[in-house]
Amino acid sequence: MNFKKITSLTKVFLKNSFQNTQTASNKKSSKVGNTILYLFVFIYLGAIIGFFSYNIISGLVQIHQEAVFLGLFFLIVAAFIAFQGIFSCINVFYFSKDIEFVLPLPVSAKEILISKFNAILITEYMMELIIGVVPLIIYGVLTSAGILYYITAAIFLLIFPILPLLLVSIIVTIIMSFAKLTKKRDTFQLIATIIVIVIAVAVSTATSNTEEVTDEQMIQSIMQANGMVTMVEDYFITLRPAINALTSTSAVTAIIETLKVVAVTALSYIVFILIGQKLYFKGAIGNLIRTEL
Amino acid sequence: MIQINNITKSYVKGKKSVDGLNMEIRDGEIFGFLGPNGAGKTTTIKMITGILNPDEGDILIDNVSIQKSPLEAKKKFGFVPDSPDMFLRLKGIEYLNFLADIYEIPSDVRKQRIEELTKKFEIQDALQSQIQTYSHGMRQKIVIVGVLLNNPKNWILDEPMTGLDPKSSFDLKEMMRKHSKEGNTVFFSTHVLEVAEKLCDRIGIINKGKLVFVGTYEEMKEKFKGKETLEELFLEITDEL
Repeated sequence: MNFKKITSLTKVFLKNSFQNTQTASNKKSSKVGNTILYLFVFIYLGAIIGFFSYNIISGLVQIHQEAVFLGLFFLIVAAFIAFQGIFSCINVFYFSKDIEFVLPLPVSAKEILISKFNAILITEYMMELIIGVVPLIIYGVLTSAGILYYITAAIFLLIFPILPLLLVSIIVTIIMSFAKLTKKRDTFQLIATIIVIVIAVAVSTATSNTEEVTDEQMIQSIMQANGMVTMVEDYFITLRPAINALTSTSAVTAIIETLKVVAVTALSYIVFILIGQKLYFKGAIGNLIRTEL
Repeated sequence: MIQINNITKSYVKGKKSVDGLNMEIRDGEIFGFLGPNGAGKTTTIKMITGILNPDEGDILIDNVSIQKSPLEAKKKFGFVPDSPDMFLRLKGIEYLNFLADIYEIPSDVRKQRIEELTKKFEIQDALQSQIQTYSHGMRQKIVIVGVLLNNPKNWILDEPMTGLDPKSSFDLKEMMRKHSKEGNTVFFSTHVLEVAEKLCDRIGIINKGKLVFVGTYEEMKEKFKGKETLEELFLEITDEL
């Protein structure tokens, strides 16, 4: 495996994945406009998430149940990554036309798979900057956490999204090895857009309702939601180690819990590569053939 | 040298797009691959370049099987596809550096070759712009430059002249001639019969997935005496007259 090739391919796939989402303009003024727009959206969403996180964490700190927030936080991050990952995976793995141009080049199937996955992961990290960084910093400040917490939090922001994204990639690869979605690309993207709008409206309605809810009621419903975290953690095996690592004051415990997550993630990565090598190219080349007919 | 040994490909069960194709493109020759639309030219090229796997048969590039040792075989050729609309968000220079990374070309060599080739194709001033801002001809040129960076022994080109201005087309033909004279292989598909006549050492004509003629232009004329023009010859061979 050649790391330079993987880095180069990742950059190309990443740029290509933005090809469909950005306007075809090379003008400086439009680039500056886009940057300002993204910055505004970033700050706006960050402020909303920060506001909610502050209210919830400060309420939980008062009743010494702040760790409940971390469980919910990781669950929401995982759900968000998995949901967003479905669209990213299908787009990057199957709908981008680059595979036809990469296949005649001397790169291995493994290098292509890893690079495509890297490209998706990096876009997820960008999303995580908004939904992940702000709540964890607020949590650290409100619980007067030490440097160990911030180091562990930074590590978890990097490693935690990998597992949900791997699971989604594996499922998408299996489905796409027999599904014939390529010719329905436009339909797929229309449905995806509608789902995103519906969710955005639902979230906006739900958050506007919470304004009438008192802090006590909110804490009560969060404690109820914590029941869900406890229920899920038997199946979502990296959830508990993540909470333990971030709440631990011992460096040894934090390292052990982190290693548990790294081990599960590494194992899943191997499974993804094995399945991908067997099925991905069958699906992707099948798509090439179908578009040709 | 490219050896195509009895390859068959079906997209739909029972309908062979390429049917038992046997061809050998020798070292030192320019080989033109002709055929009407849908004859199986692009499918054949996709199998030679490892994009598609044949259902039966094997393809050897300099005696290395594209199916059994794809990485080794893919280092031995450069491929220009029929559509140059690829990696449009990359700048020209990013695209060339990407290919240089993939072919593991050392930085001093790549710098010199990029300078040389982009100057020859007159695209050196466009390297800092994204490929999506290029015209069709310029996109074609950057893809060709990308292929030539690695200086591969075997060139495989799918409709390479499409969209090129007369000078670039002339330059490319000259480069193809020079490449073959140095003992290398040039395999290209084309619709332009005159190009095949003037440029190719041998011609292969495919129709409905089967190779219906392979030989020199003179041999073709000899075989189909009485046909005055190249078009007539071509239509006669492909049963369309």
